Amino acid sequence: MTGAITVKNTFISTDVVCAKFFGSFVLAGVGGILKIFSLTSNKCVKEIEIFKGHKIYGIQQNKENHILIYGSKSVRIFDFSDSSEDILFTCIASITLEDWIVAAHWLSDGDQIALVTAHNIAWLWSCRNNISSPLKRAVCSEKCILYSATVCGDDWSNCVVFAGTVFREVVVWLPAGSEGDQPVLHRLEGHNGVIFSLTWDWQTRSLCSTSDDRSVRLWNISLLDKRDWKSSKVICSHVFYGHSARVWKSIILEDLVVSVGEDCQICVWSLKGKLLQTFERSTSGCQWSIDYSSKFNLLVTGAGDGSIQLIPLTLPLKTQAVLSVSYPDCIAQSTLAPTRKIILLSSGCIVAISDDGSLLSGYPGIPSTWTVVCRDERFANYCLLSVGSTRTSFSLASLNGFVALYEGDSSNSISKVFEQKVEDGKIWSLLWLSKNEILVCGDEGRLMIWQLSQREDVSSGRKLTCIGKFRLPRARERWPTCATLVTNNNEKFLLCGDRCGSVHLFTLNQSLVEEQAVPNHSLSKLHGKLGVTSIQNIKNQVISTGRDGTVRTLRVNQKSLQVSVISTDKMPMDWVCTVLCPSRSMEYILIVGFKETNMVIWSTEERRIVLQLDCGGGHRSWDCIMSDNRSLEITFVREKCMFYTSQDLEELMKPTLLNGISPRELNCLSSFHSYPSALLFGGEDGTIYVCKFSEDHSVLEKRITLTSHISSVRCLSTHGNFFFSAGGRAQLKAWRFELDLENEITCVEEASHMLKGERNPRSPPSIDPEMRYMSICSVPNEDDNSDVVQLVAGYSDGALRWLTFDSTSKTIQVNGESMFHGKCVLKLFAVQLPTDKVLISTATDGRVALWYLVPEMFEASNSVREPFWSTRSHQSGVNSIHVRLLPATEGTILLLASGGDDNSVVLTALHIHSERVSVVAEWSSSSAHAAQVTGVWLIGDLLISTSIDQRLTFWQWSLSGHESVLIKCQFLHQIVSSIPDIQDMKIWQEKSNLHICLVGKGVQTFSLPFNEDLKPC
Amino acid sequence: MGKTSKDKRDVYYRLAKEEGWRARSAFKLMQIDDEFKLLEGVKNVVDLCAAPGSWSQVLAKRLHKDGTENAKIVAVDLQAMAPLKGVIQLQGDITQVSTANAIIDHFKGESADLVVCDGAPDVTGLHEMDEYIQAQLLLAALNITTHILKPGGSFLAKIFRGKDITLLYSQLKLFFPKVTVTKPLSSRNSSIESFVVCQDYSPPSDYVPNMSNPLLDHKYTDWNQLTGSNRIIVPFLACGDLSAYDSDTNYPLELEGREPYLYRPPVQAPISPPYEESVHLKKSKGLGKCVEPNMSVEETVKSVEESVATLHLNKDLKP
Repeated sequence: MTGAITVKNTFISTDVVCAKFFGSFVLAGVGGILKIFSLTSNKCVKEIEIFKGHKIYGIQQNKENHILIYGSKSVRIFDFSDSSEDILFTCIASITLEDWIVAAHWLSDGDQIALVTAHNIAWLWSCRNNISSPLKRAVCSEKCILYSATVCGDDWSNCVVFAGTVFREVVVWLPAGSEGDQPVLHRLEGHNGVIFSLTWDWQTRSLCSTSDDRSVRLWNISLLDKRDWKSSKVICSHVFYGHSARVWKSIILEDLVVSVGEDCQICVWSLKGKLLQTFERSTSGCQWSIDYSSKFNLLVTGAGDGSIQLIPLTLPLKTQAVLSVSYPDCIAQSTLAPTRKIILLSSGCIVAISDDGSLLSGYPGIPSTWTVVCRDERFANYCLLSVGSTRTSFSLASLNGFVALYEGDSSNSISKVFEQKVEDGKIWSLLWLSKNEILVCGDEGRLMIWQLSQREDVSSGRKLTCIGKFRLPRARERWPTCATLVTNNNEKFLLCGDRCGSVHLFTLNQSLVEEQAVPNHSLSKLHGKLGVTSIQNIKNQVISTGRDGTVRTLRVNQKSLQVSVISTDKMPMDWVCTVLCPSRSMEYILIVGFKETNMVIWSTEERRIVLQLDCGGGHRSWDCIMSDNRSLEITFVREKCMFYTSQDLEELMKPTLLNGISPRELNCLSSFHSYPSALLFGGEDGTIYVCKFSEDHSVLEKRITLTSHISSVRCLSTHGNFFFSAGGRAQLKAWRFELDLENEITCVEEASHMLKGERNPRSPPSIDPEMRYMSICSVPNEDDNSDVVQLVAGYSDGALRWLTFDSTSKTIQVNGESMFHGKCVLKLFAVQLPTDKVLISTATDGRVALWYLVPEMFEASNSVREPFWSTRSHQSGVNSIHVRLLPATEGTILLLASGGDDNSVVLTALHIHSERVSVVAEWSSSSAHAAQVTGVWLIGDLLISTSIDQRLTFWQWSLSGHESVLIKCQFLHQIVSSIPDIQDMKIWQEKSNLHICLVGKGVQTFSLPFNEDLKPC
Repeated sequence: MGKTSKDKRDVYYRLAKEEGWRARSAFKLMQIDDEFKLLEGVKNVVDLCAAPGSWSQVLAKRLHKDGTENAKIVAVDLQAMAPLKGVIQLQGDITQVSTANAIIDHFKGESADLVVCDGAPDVTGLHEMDEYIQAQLLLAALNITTHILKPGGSFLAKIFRGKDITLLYSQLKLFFPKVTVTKPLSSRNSSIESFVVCQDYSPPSDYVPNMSNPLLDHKYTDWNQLTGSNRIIVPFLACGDLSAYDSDTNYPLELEGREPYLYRPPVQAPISPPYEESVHLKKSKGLGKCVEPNMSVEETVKSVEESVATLHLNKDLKP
C-alpha cells in the first residue's frame, strides 16, 4: 500500500437536524453532507460535503438564491442555480468563528448576515469578497450559555436577538446599541427547562419557544412601530403541553403552530393552544427538524433514525365531517329498525342489514339508489353479514342455521344466489375463504367448509357441498374470527384465528369427509387474549392481525405441519383489525386498526398513521376497502346512523425522501460472506436491522426490522446462513437468513434462549446478577452445513460460556462456563489456525486471553476451561480486537490488534507452535485516538482504527528481522466521520475496493481503492 | 422492572445508597484521589457545580478524617442543596467575579489548593453540541479557578471525550504543565465521561484573570490538527484499584464480604425536574389542552382535572 490514500464517503445515515424547503426542492443536512431532493421526482438529486465531521444545524436562504449553511463554528454560503441538466451549488464564502453558532439570519441587502453564538454574542458579517473578519460584534450584558436563538430585522440597526438561555429564560436584546455590553430589553420567564428553539414570525408578531420542560410557549409582542423595539411589550399568550418528552423545534404558520420533539411526535396547534393533530413517527425516533411549504401544503421532518419524511398537513377527520348516509323517506318510513351491520362491495355500494331483517343496498350520497333487497324475519335480531375477498359476493347467516348467498354486479343489482340450512343451531361465524368457498362454524366449534358449485352447471341448479370438517379446540369463545386457505406445493391448509387469540392449522384433504377433530398445530394466544382479527394470504405471505396491537407474518411448514411466526410488528394502536393491499403491487400495505375512539390507518411504507377518523371506537360495524382508483373508502355505524367517506390515497400518503435505519444507537454490525450487499445492525432499541444496499453500498434499498428482543442487542455473529443476536436480559436468539428467487430477504427466528429462563413476573425477585451478553462468536467450522453450531459468549458478570445451537431441534444449550475474567467481558474473536481453533477474549480490566477451542468444551462436561495465554495489554477496557495470521517457518504468527478505553492501539505478534506461545514483538501507540478505541481491523499491510473521537486512522504495519522480530507501524492517514459514538466497525474487500462501515448514532460507509499486496517478514 | 433491578445492574448505585452517598459519583472522586493523591495537604478546596453534593461529602470525609475541621471546603452551586456538615455552601453563579471574591473571603484571603468540578449540562443527545456545552462549562470553571487557585494548585473536572476534545486539551495545557485524562473504574466503559486532572497551576506570565469575557476553546491549527498525526492528546491513566468493583460488571445482590442485601430507597430523589408539570398533566389527562400562561403547576393541574371531570359528566348525561 503506497502513495496517498483517497477515501470516499459512500453512504451516511445519522440524525437529520435540519431539513428545509427551497422552492421545489428539499435541502437537508445528514451529518456534514447536504442532500438536495427534488419534489418532482422525490429523489436525491445532489449531494455536497459542506462540513468535515460536524453536522449541519441550519439552512437559511435569501431572495438572491444564496443559501447559508451553518453548523458548529462554521458558516458557508452558496449560490444555487438550477439549470435543466444540473444543479449548480457554488461556494461564495466561508466563515469560521471562535464560538458555536446558534442562529443565522440574512439581512435585507442580500450580502450581510447576522449571527448569534453560544455565549450570547451577535455578529455582523458580509459575505462579499470573502471578508475575513466581522463587521460588528455585540455582547449582551447577560453572559450565559445559549441553547438557541433567533434574530429578526432587516438591517443591523434594527436587529433584535431573542436568546434562549441555559437558565430557562428568553432574553431579548438589541445588538446595535452604543459601546459596551448591550442591556437586556425583556426577560421572558416561564419555562422550567433549557430553551431548545426559538422561532419568530413577523405576520403574527409572535415568538414561539420550545423547551426541556416539554412545553411550547407562544409570546405576543406588541410593537407601536416595526422598528421601535424599545417600547415593545411582551406577554405569554399561550402554553401548549402535548409532547411527552422534550420539544426541539417549532414553526409558526398563518394560524397554526407545528412542534416536533423527542417523543417522535409532530403536534399541530391552533394559535389558541388547541391540539388539533398529532403525527406520530414512532419508529423514526426524535423528530429534530420541521419545515412547511405553503405551495405544496407539506411538512418535512428530519428524524433521529436519519429519515426525511414528507407529511401532508391534514387535520383528523371527525364524524361530523364525513358523509352521513341516509335512506330516502320511502324506505325510512317502512324500516324503523336501526341498521346493525354494513359492508362495502367493490362497486362502491353499501349493503346494510337492520334489526328487523331488512337487507338494504345503495350508494352513499345518492338516496335515490337505495332499495330494500328483501326483508327476511329469519335474519332479524341476529344476523352475520360477511363479504368475500373479491367484494362481489356476500352472505347472511342466521340464528337457526340458515345461510343465504348474494351476488352484486356492477350495476347495483343484488341477487340471491343460493340459500340453505347448513346447521341445526346457531351459526357462530361465517367466513369467506375464496370466491366460492365459505367456512361455517356451528355449535361446539364445529367447522365446515362449503363449496358452491360454479355458475356453468346451472342445469342441475347451484348447490353447496361440504368439502371439509374440523373442530376447534375447547375454549371459552369457540368460533373462528378469521380464516384463510394456504396452498403449499399443492397441499392445501386451513389457517384460522379465534376469539381467544389463538391460530389453528388444519389440513385440507379432498377425499376426506370425516371430521378432523384436532388441529395439526395451534399457536395458543398468539395475538393475546382479545382475539385474532384477520388472517390473509397476500402475495405468498400469510399475515395475521390481532387485538394485541400486532401484525405478524406466519409460515406453514408443510413437512412438520406447523405454523411458525416469521416476524412480528407492533403497531401504534390498541387493536389491529385488517390489512389492505393495493391489488396490483406489494409496494406497501395499509394496516387498519383502532386507537381509543379513532379508526387509524397506518402505512408500512411511511411507518406512520396516514389517516385518523374519530368514529367512536372499534366496537361497531365498519368496513374499509381500497378501491381501484387508489382511494380509500370507509363506512361505519355510529349511534345507529351510517357514515361514509372516501379519501384520496395520493393526498394521504407522501413519499419518504430518505429512509432511516435506527432511532437509537447501533451497537454492532455483521454481514454474510455469501451476500455482501446485506448488513445486519444490532440496536440499543432491541431491534435487529437487516439492511439491503445497492451493489456499491451507496443506497439503502430495503430494511427489515426484527423486533423480538426484549432488551438491547449488543452483539451479532453470522455462521453460514444462520446468525445469532444477543444482548440485554441475557437473551440470545438464533435466526436463519433466506433469499428467495427474487433475492428478497426473509429472516426466520429459529430459537430464543434466556440464560435464566423465562421468569414469571410474579415470582419473587432473584438475587442473581442482572447480566447481559456483551459479545458472541461462532466457532469456525469446516463444514458449514453441520446441524450444530458452536458458540462462545462473553457476559457482563465476567463469565465466558460455551453454547451449542442445534438447528434440527431448534434449541440452544449452555454447556459450561469459565469465570477466568471475573470482570465484564467485552469482545470475543474466534480464529482457525492451521491445526487448532483459537478464541481471543478481552475484558474491562484490560486483559486479553487466548483459549484453545476443543470439542469437549461444547459437551456438557466439566472439561477444563483455562486460557493458554493471557496478558494485560491495556489499562482498562479492551473495546476492539482483530487478528491476522502470518505464516512462519514453524507454527503460526498471530498478529493481534487491540484498541482500548485508554486511547491506545496495541499490536502484538505471537508465535504459536505446538501449544507453546511466545510474544515475538509488540508495538503500541498510547495516543492513537483522543477517546475510546472502538474498532480495529487488520487487512493487507493496513491497520485501521476508529474511536468515539470520530476519527478513522490508517496505519501501515510491517514485521522485520529474523532472530529478533520487530513490528513497525506508521501513521498513514486520518479522516473524520460524522457518526457520533462509534461502537463497531467492519471492513471487507470487494473486487479492488475496500469498504469500511462504522456504526454508532448512525451508519457511515467509506470506500477506497485497495489491492492486497502483502509481503510479511 | 422490579425496584431492585437498578441495584443489580449497577453495583456503584447500590453501594452509594448503602454508604449514604448522595450520588454514585462519590466513588469516582475517591478513586481519582487514591490514584493522584489530590487531597494530600489540601487546606482550601472548592467544589464547583456541587449539587447534589456527593463530591463535597467525599471532601468532607477525607479532609476532616480526625473530626477536626482544619481544611475549608466551599461548595458552590446555582441551586441550594441540603446542608452538609463541615461544608460551607455558597449559592452563586460561577461566571461572576462576586462568587470568586466570596470564595476567597471564606478562605480568609488565601487561595485554593484544589478546585473540583463534576458539573454536566442538560444533554440534548447531539453529541457534538453536548460536548461543546460541557467544554464551555469546564472553561467557565477554569475561568473562576484562575481567580482563586494558588500557583502549583490542582484542578479536576469532568469532560466528555468526544470529537473536539483535543481543543480543550490545548487550552488546559496553557495553564497546567501536567494534564492527565483519567477514568475511574466507577465510570462506565461505554460512557463518554472522563476526568481531567490538571496539576501544577502555572498560568502564562502575562495572564490576567478576567471574568468579563468567557474563555473560549481553541481552533484547529497545524500543531493541533483536525485530522493527522499532530493532535494534542494528553496521557490517559485508568484509576481505581483492580480489586475494586467494575461498573460494567454485574454483581449478585449478595456481595462477598458485605452485609446481606437490603433494598434501600435513593438517598435523594430528583428535585423538581423540568418535566414535572408535563408529567402532572399527563397523569390528569390534561396533555394537549390549553393551559393559562400565568398559572402555577398546582392551579394548572387542578383546572385540567376539573375540565376533564366535566367531560366525563357530559358523557354520562348522554342517553
